[in-house]
Amino acid sequence: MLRHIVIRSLMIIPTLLIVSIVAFVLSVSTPGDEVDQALALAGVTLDDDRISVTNYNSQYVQKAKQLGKDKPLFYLTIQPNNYPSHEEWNGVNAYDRDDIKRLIKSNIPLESAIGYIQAIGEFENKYFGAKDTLSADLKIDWKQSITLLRKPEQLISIRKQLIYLANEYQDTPHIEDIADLLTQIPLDGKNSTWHVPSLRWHGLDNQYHYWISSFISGDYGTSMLDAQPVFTKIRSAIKWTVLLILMSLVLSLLISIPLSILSAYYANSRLDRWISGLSLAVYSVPVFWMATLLIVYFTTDTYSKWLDVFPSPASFYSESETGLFGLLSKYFGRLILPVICISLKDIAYLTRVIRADLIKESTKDYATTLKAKGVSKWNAMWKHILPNSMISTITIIISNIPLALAGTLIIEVIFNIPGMGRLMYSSIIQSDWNVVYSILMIISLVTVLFYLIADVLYAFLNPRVTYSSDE
Amino acid sequence: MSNNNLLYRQAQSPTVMKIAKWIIGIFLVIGLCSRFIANDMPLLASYEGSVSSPATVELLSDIGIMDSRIYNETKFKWKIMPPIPYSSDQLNSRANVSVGPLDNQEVSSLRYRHWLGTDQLGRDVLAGLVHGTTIAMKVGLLSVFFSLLLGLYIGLLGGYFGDDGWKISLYALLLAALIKLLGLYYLIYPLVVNPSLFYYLILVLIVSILLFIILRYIPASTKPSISLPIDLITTKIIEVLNSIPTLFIILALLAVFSKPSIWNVIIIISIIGWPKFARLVRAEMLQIKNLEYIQSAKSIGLSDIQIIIKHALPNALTSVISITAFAISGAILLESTLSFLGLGIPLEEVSWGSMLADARASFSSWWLAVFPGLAIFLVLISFYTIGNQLNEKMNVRHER
Repeated sequence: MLRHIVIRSLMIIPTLLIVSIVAFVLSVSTPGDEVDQALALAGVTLDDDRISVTNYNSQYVQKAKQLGKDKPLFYLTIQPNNYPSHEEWNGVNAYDRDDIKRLIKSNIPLESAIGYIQAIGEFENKYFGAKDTLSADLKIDWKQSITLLRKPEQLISIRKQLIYLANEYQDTPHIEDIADLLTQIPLDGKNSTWHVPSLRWHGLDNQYHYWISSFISGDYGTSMLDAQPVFTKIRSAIKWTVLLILMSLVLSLLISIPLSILSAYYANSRLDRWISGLSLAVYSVPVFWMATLLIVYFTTDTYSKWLDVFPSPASFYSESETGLFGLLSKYFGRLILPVICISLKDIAYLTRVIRADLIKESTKDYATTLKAKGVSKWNAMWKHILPNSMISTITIIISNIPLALAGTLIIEVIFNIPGMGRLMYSSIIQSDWNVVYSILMIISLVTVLFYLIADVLYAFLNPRVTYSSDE
Repeated sequence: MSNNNLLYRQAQSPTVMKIAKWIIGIFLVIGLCSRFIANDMPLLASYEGSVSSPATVELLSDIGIMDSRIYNETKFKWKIMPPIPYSSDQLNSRANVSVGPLDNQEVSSLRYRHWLGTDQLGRDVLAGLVHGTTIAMKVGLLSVFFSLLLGLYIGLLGGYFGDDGWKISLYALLLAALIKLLGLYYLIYPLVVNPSLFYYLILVLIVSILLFIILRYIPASTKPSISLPIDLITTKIIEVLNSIPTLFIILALLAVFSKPSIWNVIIIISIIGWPKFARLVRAEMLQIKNLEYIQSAKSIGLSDIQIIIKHALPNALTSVISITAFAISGAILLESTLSFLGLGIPLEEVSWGSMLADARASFSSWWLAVFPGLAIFLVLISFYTIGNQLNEKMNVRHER
């Protein structure tokens, strides 16, 4: 038994490691550059005139170092030989990276690609950086051409573009710089070696390692939106979700246990059929439809003054640091509708499951003995069969809690409750990836823990269950 | 979303089953022929002296078979309109914005009435429902089809070979690992760089087939010594996928795609959905492989692949069918949830979920809240009913 628990708990670790790798890979492949976002938060942006490009570049390098983004991604990397390694990326900002990648993709060697993009950068800095080198009209004209230059689809068109520029602006004093650019254009795409994979081992000094070790030590990073620690955001959100789940659990148990007892007591009668038919119907109602209907009819006076019973979901919840009971007493009225929506599906599900358990239990030998002894059917059900069937019911309820998280996500979004689900949703909408993937990790940790608890509890409550050592 | 098959152990009455089957059938037909049911293009019309079918032309040009053609509305000599003469994204130019089914509508005839009203942009709700049916059926059927394929493959392997069924020599294992890694590299990398490499893909395919043939004729230098724990690996993967709540992992996966599209949703739901099938098929296979007929097939020297495909698969498939109904309804529910949240499905596509989301913006249009939800409800309850019935039949068969 103890052995089983220990083995079962140890098995969590590889699962969580794989989940963490998945979350990390996803967080890396999301669109947008984290360093750029962090800089934007600090007020440093690459403006259209590119006046501050040198300043931006130095800030970028600094910020990347500070965030640890100058390190390799993983313990080992496999990438094409012509692709820049993390050392070669250092000092190149995200915008230039995209341009360089585009050049590499059209088979330009790395050095020429970096050189070319940096030459354009210098050129821009020289002419758009200083205010009075070019007239305003000329500037706009040039800017358009340079933008095209930075995003070349084909090298031939670059060449054409530059020749056009050189011809058009023969009277400008800086024509020799354009000539310089012309020589920089990498035309030699032959010695590109993407087909040779290069495998490199980076050791512990990599982004994933720092991410996962700071996650384990409780440091989830900061939000990219408001620089708040992710931990504070999640802590203030999680109590709402816990409150919702607890309330809906209580409500659904209060309703589903009596219903299932009735249903099992009068098994295969008309009442039983009605209860099961109704619970199938309720189970098929999408949560968000139910919520929409309830909001449309019961939170406004559009249809009737008498239907305007519940407060509107559009208003905000104040962020007060009260405990669960504080929240409950303050917002009870506003939580009624969301809790009803979450629990309806659970009620339908639990009624069916508990009924099936009760019926299975009442076909066992001891139930027959009770009957033979003259114990009334109701007493047998209430005092003997129900407690016995509770073993599997409790397991089902506990392993069902992680599934309830998905239901709370939608309900939190619809009713504007600032819980985990809405935090996840709004963070995705606002591309706040640190928060999104921290939540993903925490949610899967919670899920795994609940499954473990359900498993252990089942073994604990039901000593007849034996576990072979190689389970 | 999961554990659906636990829900019911009660036979449905035959009338209920019949109704459920009819509902599914009707929705399938609507989903398949949505262009010919709700469209602002005529089904048949006389245009510039010849008879043509603008609705068909539109359909074919969207698939890419034909060039699109622009018709001048006023030049039709005569035309036969579809039953619903509106398309789902057609904005109404007249005063018919947010009109209800029971309101007075300013339409030319009863034929052009908005039977289920219009939304805030004046789009016809009934046409939207028809378009939403297409999306729901497309996502539901295709994603379940893909996850079924993946789940069957993984479940069959895991269940048939178990932890010690597949013996392989160290030399072959290393070679296979190397080739698999290189193959993954050459398959994935160029696709990431340039997704339009069609000929490259064909090249990779040819090379891998050649490699497969060549490697078959290289004799293994050592005897098979290492057994691959295929079952352990598959059950571990399933456990990992199960430890992340579905909706959260789907949202996290969707965030990676910068451009929303229905195909992203289909692919993601398939990736999330296959463990259900794999687990069931694995459990079935564990039983089937010990049956007499499989043992005798082995004894007459049939290869593993032959046994799996010809003899074990048909037997395992019957149990899979019963959870397919639940899986389809789960996928449809997920699709409508995602479009309700405004994620994954492109915003300009009218779907059941997006219509419900619109209903939250204008409380007075009750028809926006009622009808799309009713459509989802009907499809879900029909699939659940059919799934329960199939499940029940399976249980009876098993108990015999």
